Amino acid sequence: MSSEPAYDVRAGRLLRWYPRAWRDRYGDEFLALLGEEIDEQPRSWRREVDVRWHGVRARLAVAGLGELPVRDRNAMRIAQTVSLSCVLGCLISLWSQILRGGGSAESYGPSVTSMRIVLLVTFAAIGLRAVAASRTVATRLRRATADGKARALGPPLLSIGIGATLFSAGFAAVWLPQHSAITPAGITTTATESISTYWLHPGLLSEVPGAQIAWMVISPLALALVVAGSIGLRRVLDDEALTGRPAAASIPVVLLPALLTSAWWVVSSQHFQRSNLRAGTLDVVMIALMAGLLVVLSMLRRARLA
Amino acid sequence: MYRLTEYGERVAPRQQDDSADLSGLGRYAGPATLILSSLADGPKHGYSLTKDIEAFAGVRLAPGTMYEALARLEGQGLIEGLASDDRRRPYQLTAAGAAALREHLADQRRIADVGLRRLKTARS
Repeated sequence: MSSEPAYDVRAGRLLRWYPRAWRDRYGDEFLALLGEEIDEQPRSWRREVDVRWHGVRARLAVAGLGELPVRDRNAMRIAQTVSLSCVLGCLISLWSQILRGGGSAESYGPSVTSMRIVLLVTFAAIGLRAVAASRTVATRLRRATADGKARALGPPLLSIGIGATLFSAGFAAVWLPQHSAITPAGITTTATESISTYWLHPGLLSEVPGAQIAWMVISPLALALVVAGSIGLRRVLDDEALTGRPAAASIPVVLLPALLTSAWWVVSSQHFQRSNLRAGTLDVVMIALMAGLLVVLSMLRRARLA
Repeated sequence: MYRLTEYGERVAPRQQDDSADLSGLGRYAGPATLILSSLADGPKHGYSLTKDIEAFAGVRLAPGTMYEALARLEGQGLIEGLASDDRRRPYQLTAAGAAALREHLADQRRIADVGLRRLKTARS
């Protein structure tokens, strides 16, 4: 919108449900229509629901999750990056538990063995793809570091590393065993399992020292900052080898076996004699989240560019 | 045949929607038909479209539904926005829009004729 004409406050509030790009294109005329509609019928719940619903649809469409052609490739890339990052984060967390649990296949049955193998293959496939794009990504990462864009990741990554080291002896509560700090399993456990401890076992917090409770508050914030900082580096990942259509098409294929074996583990682990590899509420939540995000990634893969 | 991406890779050209008919509009085919029919007798802006459609079809399109349909129709090249002195932008039917509407209504008429004929036969 090029100017700020006077318009009904209610019409303006409804218009804000739409994304900026849509407002720039249709905002003035849509305000005019809303103004005339509100003049004719000041109160209409049907109009309120309709405009909000279509505003949300327009926002999803901007990110490539609607049926309209995508005009903002950047938004689509952000949606892809965030979805993929969350899926990988969930897989790393699940893998760390499976590796940490130890034991033999006879102890836990085929679901755990399958999950170990499938996740190893999944990460190897992702690693190969990353290697294919490594030269371009490394150049851009160097440039992003020099430009200061990568600095946002520094403090949260540092805090996660410090926390993982400090609490490498394990938490006071007996249900969190000791682990080695600077390993994927250790870092993931320290950064994420503390969240489940904090939220799902509040009654046992009195046994936990104050420093560890402070870490249980800091670690999810640090993780959120890592995700936010990674979005700022999305251009580093904007390489056809990593996020182009062939890569996007292979993502659900590569990740689906990992999701299925994880679900198998959740179901079968309820009968495990030993509890340290029994799937908990957080694991179920992560698997449900992964399933939803794979649907999102599939929708993004089918999105058409305008 | 191919186009170059900004990374210098050859990829197949973007798929163009050559059908330019209303079937590609999915659940918005209904509102789209109403909008195109209303525009068939001249350009109109959003509120005029709403009142005209309400008058001839008895359906009141809500603003969000109206504009999603307008955006889809414009994206498919079936309508185009015209310049305007005030905020209300009028839209008009393009040649492709007129052809798509004609074909769609002809299909609907054939279906209506079959249905009415069968009803008459069943009653008699």
